[in-house]
Amino acid sequence: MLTCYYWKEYSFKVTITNPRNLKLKLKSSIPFDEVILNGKILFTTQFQAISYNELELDVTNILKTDGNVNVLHVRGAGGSGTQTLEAYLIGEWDSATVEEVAPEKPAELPVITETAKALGDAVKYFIEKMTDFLKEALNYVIQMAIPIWNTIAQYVNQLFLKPLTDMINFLIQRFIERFDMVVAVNFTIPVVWNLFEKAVQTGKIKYIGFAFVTPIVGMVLGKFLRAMLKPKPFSIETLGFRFEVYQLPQITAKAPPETEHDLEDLLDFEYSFETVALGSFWITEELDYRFDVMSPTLHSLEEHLDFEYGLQTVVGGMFWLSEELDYSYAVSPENTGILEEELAFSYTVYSAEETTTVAEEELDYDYSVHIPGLLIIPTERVTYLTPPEYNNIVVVTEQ
Amino acid sequence: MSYTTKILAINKDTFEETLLNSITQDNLIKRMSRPNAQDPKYLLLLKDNRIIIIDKNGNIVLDKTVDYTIDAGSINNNGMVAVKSGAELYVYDIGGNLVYHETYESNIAKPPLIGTNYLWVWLWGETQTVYIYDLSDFTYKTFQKSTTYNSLLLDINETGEIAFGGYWTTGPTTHYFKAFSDGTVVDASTTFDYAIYNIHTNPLGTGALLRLSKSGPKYRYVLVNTNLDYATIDSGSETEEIDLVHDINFIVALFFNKVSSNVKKFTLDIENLTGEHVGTITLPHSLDEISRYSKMGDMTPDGKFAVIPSTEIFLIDVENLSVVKTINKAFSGVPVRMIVS
Repeated sequence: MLTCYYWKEYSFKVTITNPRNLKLKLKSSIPFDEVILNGKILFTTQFQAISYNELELDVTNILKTDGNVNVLHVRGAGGSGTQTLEAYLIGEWDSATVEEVAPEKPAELPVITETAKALGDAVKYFIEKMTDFLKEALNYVIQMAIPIWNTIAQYVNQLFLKPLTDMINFLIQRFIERFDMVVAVNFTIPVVWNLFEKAVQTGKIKYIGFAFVTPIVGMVLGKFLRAMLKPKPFSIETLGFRFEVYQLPQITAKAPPETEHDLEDLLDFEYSFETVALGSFWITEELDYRFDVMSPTLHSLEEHLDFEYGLQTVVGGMFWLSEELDYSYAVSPENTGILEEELAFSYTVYSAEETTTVAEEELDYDYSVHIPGLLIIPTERVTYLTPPEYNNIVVVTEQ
Repeated sequence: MSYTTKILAINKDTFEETLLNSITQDNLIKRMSRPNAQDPKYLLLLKDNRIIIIDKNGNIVLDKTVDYTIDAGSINNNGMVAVKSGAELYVYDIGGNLVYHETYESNIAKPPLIGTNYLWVWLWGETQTVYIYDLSDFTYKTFQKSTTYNSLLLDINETGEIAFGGYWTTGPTTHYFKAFSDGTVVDASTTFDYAIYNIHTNPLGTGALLRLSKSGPKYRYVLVNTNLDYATIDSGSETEEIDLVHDINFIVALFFNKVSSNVKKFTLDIENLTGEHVGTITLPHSLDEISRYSKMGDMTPDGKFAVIPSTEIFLIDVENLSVVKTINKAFSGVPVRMIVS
């Protein structure tokens, strides 16, 4: 007789409001070897001799009732031909919809994903180190350069530019003080020269007379123009110039805040086996943490892990494991980092007597978030507000 | 029993007193607050189920009765009011119209703080979640702090864009930080070996005064600047529960406590982080019982006058450290607040 192995994968979405006492009832024309829902083994003949054509399995906490995809794997062995499989969802609810979906292919190729992740980590590490280096180097340069620059500036100002300014101011002052004379001389000499020249050319003596009056006119003009000059006293500062090398304020280059989190969590697992079958069991659980961080500000990451494991006997002495994971992250604001943690724990049952096993495991999470980027933060000056003007003080109290 | 809330105008030159308005009800004022503003325009009075807004001319611009018990609340400089009742948050405009209502998963920890642009609400719990609402559309950002005994405290600036916060963890160790309306938080690298009781932020949000518990023989304040650098100010007091009033620029502050009748004047310098004790005034009576977490007195924005609650209310000329006016009151533990007009 030919024995065939049948493997059926069925994907479906269920949306149920207020579900209670959810059970999955399966009927098959051949005995079940294994039933797996969402990766959880609900039934297997691996640990027991009896097989069933009909099963009613508790799927509370395993069936996704929020519209996400459920994947049911059913395996069995039987003769060749067409076999039938019926699945019923039994329970109480306010409303429910079921939708079949085509099986999803794996979205990621593990090798590529891991390679990309390794590359990403390497780039991140490189950027972090470069950021640290740049920050340190820039700070070092700034801290070294500012006092040197300020010292040089101070000496240049004191030894060269201040005397230069004083000298120029002195010359300007002298020039202004004698401005009337300058105007008078500059007016008189060419005018007198021209008048004498004209007197010689024309032979008219009156031009020489005019020439004698010219210095007086020049002086009056000079006095008038000097009186017009503003501002007083004249200096290069009042003219809007300043010979000075500016001193630099103290600034510090800071990388955006670098945060380190130490998260410790003590998980206590307690397993109790009431009806046991011989054999070895192992459970692996992979937790993927994803959190968001934005440069350049700090963020907080908090999480709550609640693991609840209950081992109960089901049909024929099979175990099923239920778990509830509640992750709650408060992250603000956003960028992306990924923290992955794989938890693996195993247990072995040696006898069919009632045993109680308590497993405790301490998980220490240690991670730090380095945010690439560089900031230069100058020291802020304090701003003051102008208080309002008032005549009355309005006092309110109970009397 | 009947209680009367009086709104008095006191002329700043002659100190003549004019009764502008009065409100009578059969229970005491639960909380009285004004905006942390450069020029505060409104005062908020909360009774068990009444929300009363008073403007700077002493007019009662809103007297609203609600059908729930008010725990606490605050008002911004546009007259918008946020109140809480257990886990319920209510936000009203100046006309008393409900503009926002929310029910949280746990009780609201302290009075919601409303600025002109943002509203800050935080909840009880081992991990305290802070919600920061944008008042234009009530979208919100959050951050969280793990504290001991729900000790998270915040005080916001005029707009609500900046808050200085603090909390303590077992020890007690006080942590302090600065938070922004986009939910970002900058934690100070320093902690203090005391519990924190109160935070006063200035209207610009450039600094804060933290009121701390006793450590050793003295009570202390910590002056914090915008970069979270700090200076400890020794109030010199060995008696408990000091509170303070301050001007809008953190230039002057008065420190007082419930046992002594001494009020100490400190000049502050937020830029150089110094606080100097420059004088003391001894009042005729010891001061009123002061709630550990409340702000009981008040100071004018320019820092020239202050009111301190005692068995009477003393109006103090801060510059000359003298009592210029005494106002009678009948009940202890009643806050006093003021605005200028």
